Amino acid sequence: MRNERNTTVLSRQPPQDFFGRTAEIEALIEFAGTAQDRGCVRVSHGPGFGVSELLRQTYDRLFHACGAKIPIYFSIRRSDLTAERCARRLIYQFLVQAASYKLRQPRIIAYSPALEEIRNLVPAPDREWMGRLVEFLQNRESKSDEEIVVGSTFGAMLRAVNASPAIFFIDDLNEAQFLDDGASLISALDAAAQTAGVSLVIAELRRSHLGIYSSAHIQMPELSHFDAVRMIEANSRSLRIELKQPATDLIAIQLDCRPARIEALLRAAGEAKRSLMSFRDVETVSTDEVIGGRMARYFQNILHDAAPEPAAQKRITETLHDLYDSQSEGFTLEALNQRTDLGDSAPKALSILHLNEFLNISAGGVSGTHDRALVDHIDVRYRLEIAGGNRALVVGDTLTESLKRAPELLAKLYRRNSSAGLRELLASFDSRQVPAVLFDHSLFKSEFGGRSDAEILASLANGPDMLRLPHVVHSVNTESLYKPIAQLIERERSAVGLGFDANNYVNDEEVAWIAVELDSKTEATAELAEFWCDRLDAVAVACGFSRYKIWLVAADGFSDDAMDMLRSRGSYASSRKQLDLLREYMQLKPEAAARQHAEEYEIVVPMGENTELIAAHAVEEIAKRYDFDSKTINQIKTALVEACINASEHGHSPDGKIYQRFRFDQNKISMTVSNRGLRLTDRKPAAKPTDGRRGWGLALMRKLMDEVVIEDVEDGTSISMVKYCAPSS
Amino acid sequence: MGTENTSAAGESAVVLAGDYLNKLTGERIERECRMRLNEGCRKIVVDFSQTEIVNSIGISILLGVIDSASIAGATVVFSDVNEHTVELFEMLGVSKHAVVNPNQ
Repeated sequence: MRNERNTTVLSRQPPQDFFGRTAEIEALIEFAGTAQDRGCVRVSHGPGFGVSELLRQTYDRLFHACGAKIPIYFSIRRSDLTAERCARRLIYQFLVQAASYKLRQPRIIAYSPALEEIRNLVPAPDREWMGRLVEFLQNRESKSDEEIVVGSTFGAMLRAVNASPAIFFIDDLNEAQFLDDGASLISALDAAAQTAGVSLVIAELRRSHLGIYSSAHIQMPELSHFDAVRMIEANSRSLRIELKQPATDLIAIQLDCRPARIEALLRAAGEAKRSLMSFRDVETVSTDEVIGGRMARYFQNILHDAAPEPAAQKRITETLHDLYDSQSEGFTLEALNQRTDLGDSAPKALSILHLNEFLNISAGGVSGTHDRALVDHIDVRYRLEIAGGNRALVVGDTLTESLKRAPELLAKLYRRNSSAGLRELLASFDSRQVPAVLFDHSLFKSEFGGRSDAEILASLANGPDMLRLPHVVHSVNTESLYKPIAQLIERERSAVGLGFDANNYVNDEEVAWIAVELDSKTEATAELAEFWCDRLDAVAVACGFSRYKIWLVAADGFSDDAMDMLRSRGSYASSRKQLDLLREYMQLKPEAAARQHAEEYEIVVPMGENTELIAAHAVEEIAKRYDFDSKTINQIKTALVEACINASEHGHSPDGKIYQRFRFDQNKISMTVSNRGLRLTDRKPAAKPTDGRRGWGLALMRKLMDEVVIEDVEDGTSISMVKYCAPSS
Repeated sequence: MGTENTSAAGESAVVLAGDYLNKLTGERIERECRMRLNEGCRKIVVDFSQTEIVNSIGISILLGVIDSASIAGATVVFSDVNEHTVELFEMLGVSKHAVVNPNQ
């Protein structure tokens, strides 16, 4: 029987293929479940962050949970043209979704039944209040005062909600500005947010402030790279796109991990039946998308919203092109107005561009965007429409430039992933005392050189000289405060923590810690350390820090000369090992977990004589690295051997290979053994009865492992196994 | 008289299981045990001192050996079995039909 919880109602992806939004979904579910009968949660998001699917996934969870509140999802559409029509569509959706919920029949939503059908469908207890709403809709007459019409429409619905509490998910709130008298819709929603019996979740672009009362605010962050990769892999499987690393990483980083952009690119690849196995594959599809695909249409629509008139769009395109130039320092608002020359429509146009993050207007001026797909699109538009370039040449150039850029993007990603996480670490400084030796590399080397981490931590616990950390109230990448540092170091490798010494919030105790992770293959030299001390002094001066501490980090630490110099300047210096120990001492989640990155290993072995032993020995070595006890290791090895034998014996594999993936989280080992060939459903039952002594492999796997799932995949079979365990002490 | 993997003395024979008990080694053990039973052995000791891993096919073959021995009126002892293999024998019910001596 199909697991109901895996059945989608409104969401477009099965829940197991929706990644990276667990915290947001849990927060919304908790809000829905509160006994509080009113309230509004505002979910603010960047363009393309995938908020619609977040709301739909939450809706589905609530639908299957059968709670007291009926979930209602509603997306505001400009195609309604007027606020009143939009409000009436909201009531209709309320009726349809309420009926679907009451009857536990998700398909009713897709059928879009007529009003009379809805009245006849619902169970008796709900017929009265739903019938009143149906009559309200059927009897509506347009009135001249739009606000009264919208208000009364909402009023009718809110009276219905008294009979049956509901939680409304209002998506695409910013589209209301394109409705005739959209302001009345916003007012009605604001009133609803403060009405008993109504729980509201509104999704709004993060730069928008439509002023709807909200009791809580969820700021949807960018999807992590790790989750974006998982999303790409899952979507590629369902779209039947052949995919390979590092193409996956390139897609994620090039599209800034924005789900909407990723979906557009994957759909384009799926429709064109293209694989995404190489940089060239990715950039070919991406180039098509930014020039004439879904992404291009999305950007074009926003430009049209800002300025319907083609000449004005051209001026905007040219302005954006210059703004996005990597050398650009930005514009003043006056310069922007002058260049775009939009006259009376300028405020609305620029507001639309700002809202959709085509540019950033602040008190300091106007700056560009980090959205790579948008930058590429504007560049193409400029070259075609303004510079009058030959289309074939522009397409070719865009592709070649993207291919040249691809390795640089991945290099940035790799360096970022291997960074020490200084910003997060500084953010955790809370004026506690920590061993001072962790900030002095030569002292650390002389006291603890050659000793294991466990020994060092035990010694640190016995109270050596201590250092009181500042209480950091705000940490930020240095580049955000001092742009020139970007010429010298990647963004993630330098951070500033602003705070106070000794928890004393007074001027004299205010302090800034400026940290940087140096690039040095061996112990950093005095010359290198001095170079950085001078640079960070400049940062402090430029930012006006009267009290500051410099903290240098190098993978292998610092030479003795470097340490002498650093001590004379009152600076701290640590190796990566000292940083890791500091985290351990402070009981922070290790950097890998902060990125939610499990360790993954993949092995492919040919089917053949005893090759399962190769896999077994490999997983044994890996498990030993994670300090798992010998009993657990033996159990895992045996289960793996059985899975490999199962793949070899039953699969009729065309390539004769067994694909294995091992994933180590903190207290868990996950293994997947898969093969191409016959799926379970394709296999014929055994021709002759066995004596009951074969087929024990699966039984053994189930006894030895905590979870075993055997499933058909597209072209074969996959066995997934999980063992929960504690590392040996 | 004995082969490389077997030694026999009177009514007892010792058969070496090898480092990995799988279908191949299981069939070898089965063949050797059959030979010894036919020669009149009444006690077969399968030596697991070098055995690191066993799989379910190998175990199922061992049960066949136990059946054959039982029919011949002989006993089967599994000696020097490591802790993990003892666990597997218990899971699959081997311990009910043969003497399992764990390694010390």
